[in-house]
Amino acid sequence: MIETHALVKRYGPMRALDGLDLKVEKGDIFGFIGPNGAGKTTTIRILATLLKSTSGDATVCGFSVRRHPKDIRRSIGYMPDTFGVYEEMRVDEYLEFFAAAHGIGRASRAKVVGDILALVDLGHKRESQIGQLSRGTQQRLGLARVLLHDPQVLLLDEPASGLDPRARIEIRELIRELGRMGKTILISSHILPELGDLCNRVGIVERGKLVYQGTLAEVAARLRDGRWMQARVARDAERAVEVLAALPEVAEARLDGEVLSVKVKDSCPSPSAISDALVRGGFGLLHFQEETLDLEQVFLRVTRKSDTRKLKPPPIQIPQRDA
Amino acid sequence: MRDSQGQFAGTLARAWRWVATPILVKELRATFRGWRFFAAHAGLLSLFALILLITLVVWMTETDPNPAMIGRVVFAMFIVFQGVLVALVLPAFGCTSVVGEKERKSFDLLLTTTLSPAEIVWGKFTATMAYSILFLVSTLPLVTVAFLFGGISLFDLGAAYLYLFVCSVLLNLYAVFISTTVKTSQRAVVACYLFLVPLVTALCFWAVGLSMRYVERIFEGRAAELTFEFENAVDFVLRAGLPGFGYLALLGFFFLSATNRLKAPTANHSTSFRVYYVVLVAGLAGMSIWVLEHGLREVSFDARRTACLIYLCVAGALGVFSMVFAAEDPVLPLRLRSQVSRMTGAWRFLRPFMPGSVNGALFCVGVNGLALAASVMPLWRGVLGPESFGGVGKNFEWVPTLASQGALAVPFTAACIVSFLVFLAGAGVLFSTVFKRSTTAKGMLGVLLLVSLLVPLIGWLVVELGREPETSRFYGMAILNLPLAVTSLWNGMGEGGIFEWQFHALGRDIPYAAVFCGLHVALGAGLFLWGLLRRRRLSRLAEVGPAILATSGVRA
Repeated sequence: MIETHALVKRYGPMRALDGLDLKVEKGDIFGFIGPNGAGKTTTIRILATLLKSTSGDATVCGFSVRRHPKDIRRSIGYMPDTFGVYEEMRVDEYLEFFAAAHGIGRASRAKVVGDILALVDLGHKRESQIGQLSRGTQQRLGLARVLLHDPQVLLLDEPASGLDPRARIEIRELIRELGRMGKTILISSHILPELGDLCNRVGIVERGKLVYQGTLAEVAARLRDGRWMQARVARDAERAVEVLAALPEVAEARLDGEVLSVKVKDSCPSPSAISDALVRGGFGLLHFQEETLDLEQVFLRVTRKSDTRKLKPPPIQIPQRDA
Repeated sequence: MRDSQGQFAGTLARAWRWVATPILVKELRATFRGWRFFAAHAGLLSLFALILLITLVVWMTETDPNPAMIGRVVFAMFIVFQGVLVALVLPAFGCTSVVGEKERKSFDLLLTTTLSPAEIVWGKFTATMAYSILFLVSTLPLVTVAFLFGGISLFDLGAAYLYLFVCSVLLNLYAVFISTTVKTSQRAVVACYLFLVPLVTALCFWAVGLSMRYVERIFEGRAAELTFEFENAVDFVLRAGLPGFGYLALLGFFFLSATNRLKAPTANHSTSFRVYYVVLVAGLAGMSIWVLEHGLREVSFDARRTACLIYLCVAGALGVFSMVFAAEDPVLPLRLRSQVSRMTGAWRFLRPFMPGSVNGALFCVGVNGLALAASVMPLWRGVLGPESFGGVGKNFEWVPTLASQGALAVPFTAACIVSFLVFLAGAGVLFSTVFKRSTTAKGMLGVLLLVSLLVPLIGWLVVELGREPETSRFYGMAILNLPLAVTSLWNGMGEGGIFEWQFHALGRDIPYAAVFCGLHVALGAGLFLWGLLRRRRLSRLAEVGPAILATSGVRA
C-alpha cells in the first residue's frame, strides 16, 4: 500500500533521508518510530506529496508521488503533528468545509459529517466553536477531518503528542477502531508503549535510514541473544544462581538485582527443568516467565546497535574522462 | 419545457459552484463572525462621512456657491477616497489570505484536499473581492449626497464604480499572489505595499483608465462627455489595445504565479507559463505588426512616428521576454528531464514548451526570431518605397529631407535589436547552467540587461550632454543602448531639442554600429556555446548520479 525506494531528501549538505526503503502492507497499522530528526516527518510529508524527495521514489496505493500527486491526495488522509483549526468556525462547519473541499456533494455532506462525528464521538460537540474545544477534542476533530473522504491510507504524524493520558487513550482506541475498519495506517509517535499495543508492524528509522521493519515479535526474537528466562525467589538468590548455572540445560545464569536471568541452551526443548530445580532446592519460587521485549526496549536496542555501527560514506566513483 | 428549465437550473448550479466555492464560504463565515471586520468597516464609513461633510461645509460657505459645482466636487472627493481605499486599504485583506493559512498551520491541510491550486487561489481571490465589493457598495448611500446638488448623472456613478471595480480586481489578485510567495503576514504586508504603491497602482491606472484624460473626467463627474472614438489605429492601440492587453497579461501572470506556488512540488510548474508566454508573444507581435501596418498609412508624421516607436518598443520587449525564458533552461537536468519525459500522448506536443532540453532554449529563440522577423516585415516594406503600399501610402516618406539615411537607419536599428538579443540569449543560456535556480538566472540576466542599457546611457549623458553636436564623437555609444537608438531614429524631426542632431549623424554611425553589432553577436554566440558545453557536462554528470554532481562543484 505504501512503498518507498531509496528515498533521499537533502537539505543543503544534510541528508534528512538517506536511501529509505519502507513497505507497508494493506490493512497494516504501521508504527514509524525514531528519535527526533530521524526523518519521520520528512518521510510522511513526502508521502503526502507536500515535499519533494531529492532522489528515489515512493508509491501510495500504487500511485507514484512524483507522477501522480493528485491521485495520492485523493487516496490519503494526512494529519500533521501540529495543525491549525479555524477557531471561529463551529465543528460541523469545519467538517462541512473540508467535505466540500474533498468534493463531497451538498446532498450527502450532512450525512457524512454526522457519521464521522458519531465515529469520533463528537456528536454532542457538533455546534461548539472550535476555539473553545480542548486540545484532545481538537485532535479528535483532526482525525474526523482525515476520514471525511473515506481514504484508504491514513498518514498520522504524532497524533497523540501533547495530549493528556485520557485523550491519548481515546485517540489510541479510535485508531484501533480505524484499523479494524480496514484502513492502512502509518503512524509516527514518540510514545512507544502505546505503539506497541496498537501496531502490528513497526519500522525504526534513524539518521534517515530504516534500521528495522517487521512485527514486534520478529524484531524481539532477532534482538534477543538466545532464549532468556526470568525468575524471582524468596530466599538465597546467590546460591540459586550457582545451582542453575550447574544445570546442563542452562548456558548462562546471572542475578540482576532481585531477578534471576537464565539463558537456556538451544538444545533444551523446555525450560521447565529450571523451575523444577528452583522448587527442589527450596528457594521459594515466586515468579517464573520467559523474558519479553517491549517496543521501548526494542527501540533502545536497535538504535544502540546502529549508534555503534561505523557509518561509512558511500564510495564515489569518478567517471573516466573520454580520451 | 420542463427539460429546458432543468438544464437552465443545472447551468445555474454549475455557475454558482464557481462563485460560492468552499473557500469563499469558509472565509466569509470566519470573517463575519468576528467583530474586527465590522469595526474596520464602521471606522472607514465614519471617515468617509466626515470627509464628505467637511467638503460640503467648505464649499457651501463660498460666497456664490454653484450647486452643480458642489455636486461634482463632492463626487470627485468621494471617488478619490474610494480610489485610495481600493489601492491602499483593501489589498491588505488579500495579502494575508494565503499566508494566514500558513501561519495558522492549516495550509498543508488545504493542499492535501482535492481542491486544485487554481480553486484555492480563486477562492481566496473571490473572498477578497467580496470584502472589496462590500466596502464599495456600502459607501454608495454616502455619495447620494452629491445627487442633491446635481451636476452628475447615474452614468458618472456607474463609470466610476466600474473603474474602481476593475482596479480592485487587479490589485486584489496581486495581493493574493504576494500572499502565496512569503511565509509570514508581516513580510506579506511589507512586500505587498513595497511594490503596490509605486508599481501596481501606476500600472493599474495606466492599464485600465484609457489614459488619465478619461479618469480625470470621471473624477470630475463628467463621464457623460467621454467618447470612445479614437483618432486612428495608433491612437486606439495606445489608449485601449496595449493597456487592455497589459491588464489581462498582468492578471494572467498573477493568477498563474499564485497557482504555481500552491502546486505539489513534484507537479508540472512550467507548461502553463510556457503557454502564457506564447500567448503573450503572439499578442504583442500581432499588435506591433497591426499598429505598424495601419500607422504607416497615416498622413500625419507624428502618427507614423508613434507607430514606429510602439512597434520597436514592443518588438524589443518581447525579444527580451524571450531571452529571459531562455535562461530557464536546465539548471537541474535530472528533474527537468523527468518532467519532460512525463508528458506522453497528445501532451508530448507540448514538450518543446518545457525546459529541460536544448529544445526549450531553441524554441524560445525560434519564437522570438519569428516574431521579430514578422514585425520587421512591414518596416522593410516601408523602406522599399511607397509603391509597396499599393498606393495607400503615397505620401509616405521616411525622412523628408534625408531619405537615404532614413533607409539605412531602419536595418541599422533592426540589427541593433537582433544583435543585442543574441547577446542576451547567449548570456541566458550560460546563466541557466551556472545558477541553481532559474529565478536567480533570470535575475542575473535582468541585472545584465540593466547594466547594458543604463551604463552607456549614463556615460553618454555625462560626456555628451551640453556639447555641441557637431563636435561629438561618442554618439556611436548609443547603439549599445536600445532606447537611445530608437529615440535617435524617430525623434530627429522635431524643431530643436537635444536629439535633433542625432538623426543626421547616424550616417556616420553606421561603421560604429557594425562593430558593436558584430561584437554583440560574437559575444552572444560565445556565451551560447559556453552554455551548451556546460550543459552537456552537467547532463553527463547527472547521468552518473547526484554524488558526482556534489563533488564536481555543481549543486544538485
